[in-house]
Amino acid sequence: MYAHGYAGTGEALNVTPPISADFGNYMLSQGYAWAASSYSANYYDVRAGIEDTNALAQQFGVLTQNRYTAPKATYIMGVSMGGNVAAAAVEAETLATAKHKVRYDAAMPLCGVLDPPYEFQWLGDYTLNAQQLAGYGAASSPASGFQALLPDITAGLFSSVTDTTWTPNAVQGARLRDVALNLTGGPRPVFDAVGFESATWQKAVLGTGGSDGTINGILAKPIYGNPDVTYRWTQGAAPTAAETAYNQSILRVTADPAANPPQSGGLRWLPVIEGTFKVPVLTMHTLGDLYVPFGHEMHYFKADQQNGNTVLLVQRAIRAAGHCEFAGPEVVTAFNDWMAWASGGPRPAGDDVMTPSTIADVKYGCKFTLATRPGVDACTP
Amino acid sequence: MNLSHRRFASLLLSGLLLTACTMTSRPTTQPPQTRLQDSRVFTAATPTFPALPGASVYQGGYDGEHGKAGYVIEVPDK
Repeated sequence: MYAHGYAGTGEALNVTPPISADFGNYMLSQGYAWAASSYSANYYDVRAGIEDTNALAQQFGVLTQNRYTAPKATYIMGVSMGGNVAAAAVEAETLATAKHKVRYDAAMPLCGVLDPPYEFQWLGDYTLNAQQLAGYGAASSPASGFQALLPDITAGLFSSVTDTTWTPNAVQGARLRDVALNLTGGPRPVFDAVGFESATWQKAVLGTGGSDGTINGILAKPIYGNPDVTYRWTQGAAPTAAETAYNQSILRVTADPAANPPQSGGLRWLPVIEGTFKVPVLTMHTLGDLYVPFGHEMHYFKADQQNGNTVLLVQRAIRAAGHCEFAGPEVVTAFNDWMAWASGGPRPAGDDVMTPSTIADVKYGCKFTLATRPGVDACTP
Repeated sequence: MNLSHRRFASLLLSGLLLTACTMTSRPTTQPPQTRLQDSRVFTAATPTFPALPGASVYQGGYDGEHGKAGYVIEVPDK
C-alpha cells in the first residue's frame, strides 16, 4: 500500500503512483502488487489517509474481481504526509481505534512526518521567528497579516532572493538560519549550506505563516504553542544575553490542550505516533529538509526508545537538501533491505540519528547516499 | 474525639464522598468539537493509469472516510 503526500487544499482528489512510475515498475518486477488511494479528502487529513488506505487494502479481493489469492503479506509505505500515514498506521492506538483495521507486516515512512505535533510546532516557530527577526514581530496570534508582510519579512532576512536560492543576510538572516538549525536537529551537513537556502522550501514553509494553529481546519482548536521554547542561534551551554532578551520579546502562544482529543468511533483527527509499533519500520530522511525536518527522525527514535522498540526501527540519513529528494537507487536499496527484513531476513543497517557528534560529522549521511547533489559535498574525495 | 468532633468528621466525610461521587459521575469526555474539514466537499477524479506490460491494472472509485476516493491497484501477472 502506498500513501501519497500532502495534495494541497483543492477539491479534486487524485491518485499518484508510488514515488515514481519507475519505482512502481520496479515493485512489479519484483513480484509485488501495489495499491494507492487518492484519499477521500485533501488538506492534512491523515485520518482519511489511514482509513482510506486501510479500506482499500481490505477490498483488494473485491476490487480485483477476486482474480488473485489473498496477499501473503501487506506492507505500507508513504512519503511526507504519506509517511505520517504509514507510521501512524502501525501504531497501537490506530490498531485499536481505526474503523478499518489492517495489521500491516511492515512500514516504510519516507521523509515522513513522524511526530505530527512537532511538525506544526516547527512551522509555527519558524514563521514566528522569521517575523520577529525581520523586525515585524507579531503582537497577537494568529498573525493574520503575515502573508501581506511576507515581502518585507523576506527583505529583512535575505540579502539575495532568486528563483532557486535565498541567501540569508549577515545578522538577522543568519540568526534565523541558526535558530532553524537548532530547532530541526542541530548541526549537521547539508542543512545550513544548502537546505536552508532552498527557494522552493523557504516559500513552502513561509507560506504557512499566520496560520491559526488548527492545521487549516483539521482540528477545531489550536495545537501550536511556544510558552516553554527557548530560541537559540548559538551552540553554547546557556543562552547569550542577546538570546535571552530576544526570548523575552518574542510572542508567546498557548496551545489548547484539548486540540486533538480521542474521537468516539474512530481515529483522532491527527492520529498519534508514539513509537508503539510491533513490525519492522525503515525510515529515510534528507538532512537538509526545511519543510519536514530531520528532527522528526530524532523524535521518532526517542518515542520508540521509550517503548523499548528500537530493534524494530532502522533510520537512514541522505545527503540532500530538498524535502523527499531521494535518488532512485536510494529508494530501491531501502525498499529491498526493508522487504528482506520484513520477510525474515536480518535487520538492515541504519544511521545513528541521535549522537550530536556523529550527526555533525562532515561525512554524516554518506553510508546510504548514492548520488551527489549540486551544492552538497561528495562523500568520496 | 468528642461527639461534636465526631459529627464534624462524619459531615466532612459525607461531604467528601458526595464530592467524589459528583466528580466521578461527571462525563470525562469533552463535548464534541466541530471542525472545518467536516464541512468541505471533495471530488474524486477518475484515475486513468495505463497497464504496464506484464501487469494488470484495476482502478476506479470506492467509499472512503469523507466520501468517494479514487484507487489504483496494479498486480504483476506472474
